[in-house]
Amino acid sequence: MGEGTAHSWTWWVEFFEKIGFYHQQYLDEENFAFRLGGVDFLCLSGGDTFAIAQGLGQAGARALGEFFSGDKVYLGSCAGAYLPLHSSQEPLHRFNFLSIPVANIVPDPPPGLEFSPRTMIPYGNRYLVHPVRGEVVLRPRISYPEPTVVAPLFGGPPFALGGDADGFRSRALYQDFTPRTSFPAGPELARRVVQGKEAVIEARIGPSTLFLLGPHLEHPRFPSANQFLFRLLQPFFNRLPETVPAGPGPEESSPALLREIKKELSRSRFTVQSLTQLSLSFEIGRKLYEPEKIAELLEFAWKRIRKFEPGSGLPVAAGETLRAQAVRLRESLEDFRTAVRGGEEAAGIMLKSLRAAKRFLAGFLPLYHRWGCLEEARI
Amino acid sequence: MALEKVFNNRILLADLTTGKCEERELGDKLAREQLGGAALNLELLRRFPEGEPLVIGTGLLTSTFCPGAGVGVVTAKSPRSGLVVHHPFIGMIGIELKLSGFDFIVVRGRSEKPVRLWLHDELAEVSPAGEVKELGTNQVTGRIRDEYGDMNIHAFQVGPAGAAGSPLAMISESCFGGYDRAGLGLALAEKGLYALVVRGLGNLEVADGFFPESAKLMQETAQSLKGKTGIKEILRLWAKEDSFLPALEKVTHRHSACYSCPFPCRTFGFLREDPARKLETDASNPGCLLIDPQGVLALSFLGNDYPHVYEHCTQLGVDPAAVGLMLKAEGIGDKEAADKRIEALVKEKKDLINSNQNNFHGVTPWPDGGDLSAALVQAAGVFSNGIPPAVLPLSTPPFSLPSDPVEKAALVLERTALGLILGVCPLLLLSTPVITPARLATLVKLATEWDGIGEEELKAKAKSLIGQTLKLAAPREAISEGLKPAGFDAAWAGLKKRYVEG
Repeated sequence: MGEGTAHSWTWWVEFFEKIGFYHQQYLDEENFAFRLGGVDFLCLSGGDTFAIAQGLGQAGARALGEFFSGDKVYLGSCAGAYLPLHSSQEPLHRFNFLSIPVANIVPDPPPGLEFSPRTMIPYGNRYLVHPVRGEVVLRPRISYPEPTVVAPLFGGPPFALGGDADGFRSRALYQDFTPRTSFPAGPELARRVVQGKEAVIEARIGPSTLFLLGPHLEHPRFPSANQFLFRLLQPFFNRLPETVPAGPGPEESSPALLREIKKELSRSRFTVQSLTQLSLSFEIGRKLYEPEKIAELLEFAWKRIRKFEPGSGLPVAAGETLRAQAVRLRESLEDFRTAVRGGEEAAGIMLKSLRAAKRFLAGFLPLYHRWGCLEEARI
Repeated sequence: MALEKVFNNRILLADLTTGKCEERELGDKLAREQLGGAALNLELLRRFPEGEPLVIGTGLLTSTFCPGAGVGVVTAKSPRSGLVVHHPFIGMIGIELKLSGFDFIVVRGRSEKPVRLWLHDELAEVSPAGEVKELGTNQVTGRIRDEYGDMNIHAFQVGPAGAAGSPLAMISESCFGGYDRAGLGLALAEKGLYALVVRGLGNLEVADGFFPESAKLMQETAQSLKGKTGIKEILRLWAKEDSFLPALEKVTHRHSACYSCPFPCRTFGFLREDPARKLETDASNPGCLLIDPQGVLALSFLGNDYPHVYEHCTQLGVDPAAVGLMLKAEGIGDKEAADKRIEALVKEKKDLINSNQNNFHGVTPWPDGGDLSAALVQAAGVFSNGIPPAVLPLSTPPFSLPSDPVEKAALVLERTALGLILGVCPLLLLSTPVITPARLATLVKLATEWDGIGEEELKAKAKSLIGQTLKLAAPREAISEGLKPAGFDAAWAGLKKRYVEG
């Protein structure tokens, strides 16, 4: 959830909640290197791959290499699928773990496709293109009861493996599109670049297994994609430690503290809601950032903080830390709003608010998973 | 029963004396018995009688996709009439209230200092509201929105008129005035509650089949009112001539509708900017939203000045209809004189009775068109007199109206009652017959899955609400003679028999 990531990492959180697994950690560039060793499944979702690589740096790349030398599982969707692929581009070249070509790097900019982080960016002396956005139909290449699976694609790679190869297995292909697919430069380019290519690849590095997902199989609003992902990962679930059960509440808990945090989070919610109505968009690095992404993170937290039983609380020390994070989040959003209203440069402040939102979630989610109202596994 | 598709299952008891709030479950049983809105408000008044309560509630269908389903209701004893009255708040406040996580609020006790009740995300806070005595409703709304950082925050508030103790003080919906003719603004001010501030970011589940049924009804309703736009449509039905129209057209910038409503009956007038301007305005406050036809009519004798004077009334939070009657009686003819006199009327705590103006139990009457049924509706005093006391013949097909004035009055009262129980705009229900009790019952059944709920039960509940409210207060006989058309006494006896003695 560090630099370069947006909000789609929460989709992995929700996916594992659905399978009843709550023992989660949230890594950013500050703690990635020293905490990765204690992790069995590493999930990396969407964002700006270049910024993610920049944030993780050499130390992060080294830690990832050590991770792969253990018997681990890597789940990379969208930007997370690009990260371990060979690249000559800095700083991606530090993460050259797998040699798998992708089909969406082209020599010339296709006609009709605009330069924008969502559709096409320069890539060395070539161009990385995204001719499809939205729903895609996948054909599973494992034994699976359904002939197709629908999942969303937001810039993830179509792989050009051309079938199973040594150490790589194709697990799903891009078969078709739906009426909800959009084609920024028309369907012809999409058919040429995406259709028929690998959407999901299972790879090995030493004893570790990597799943590279072009589309977001973990997206919470695509249950059939979640089911397919569950099936893919089923052989590895015996590695998951026992689920940490919820409550009774901590011995020394403070309902007043929980209420204070809710108040701060509520105020943050409607401050950011008011910003989402202003059609703001900031191009930072190779990614577009909008207040909607912060709103998504806050909604994610809000849905969960509501589930604490009435009268329950949080452990005092952890709760105080979380309250301070909630206050900082609210203040950063108010600064963001003030900057926008004053016509000032707001991109930096927006990033600060995004970081504050992620930090709040990183502090809140472990408390929620331990003390909040947990649901039965749904997959 | 699918309560979660219509309510949050949450009643708030706000004690202004202690500043403490307590939550109670609404519960399936109470919701099933009383349905919602004004009927449930009345029951809560009975259950929590201490501390001179005032109940603010939402309708069963408020914030759903039903046409016109943005209404909430205040039920309280009117300082002007002494009667219990149900007053609708329309616009966006009803939906913001429900989606803030609270279905009903019982306000009791009295705060020594001005406070506001801030509801958001299932959280209720009583906090100081010291600035209100000096500031207009527009300024207070702006400050609240700035403080909390969201332009979509709405405040149900008391203006300087309430702070000054004027019997003409009305509850203002943000800075746009409203339909309060019962002096509930004074009732709130006397409790020290100067604003109910709401922001709703919650949601309710949508029942299977509800959206298509609502969409169908919405289309038919829109078709029946095709081409009708702006407050002028209602004004035309009451004004003896179209003399109000030039001043209105001069300032009209746009028309707008409330939540989920296909009839844009509110007109925004640009008073300080060119109304032909289509670009985002530079002025922080270019004009005002004209929402109160009774108020506009009463002030229309001022010619081109009336929109400005109407705005002044909404800023002060004072009943523009009562003010209009008094200014006209005093021979006031222009904006400057009107503005000065309004401030004086507030300070002098004038009302219709001590100003010797015709009134229904101290409440402002609609222009007298000699219609007996309209007089009966106003005489009943059950609902805020800001709602038109007659069917508004705007639709195609039109209403099929009974000729008997008591039956006609009953039609108006019962459609209004139904609206205030379900949270559907009574103005819309009085404008088109397309939204029938049967159609509403279908929506209620889809949303709640209640066994046995149907058209007859809804009609019975509406009738029961009227009867119970009529029984609650002293004889409603304080009606100016000048407001009683021929045959009034016999018809009034007939109406009472229908609801109270029948």
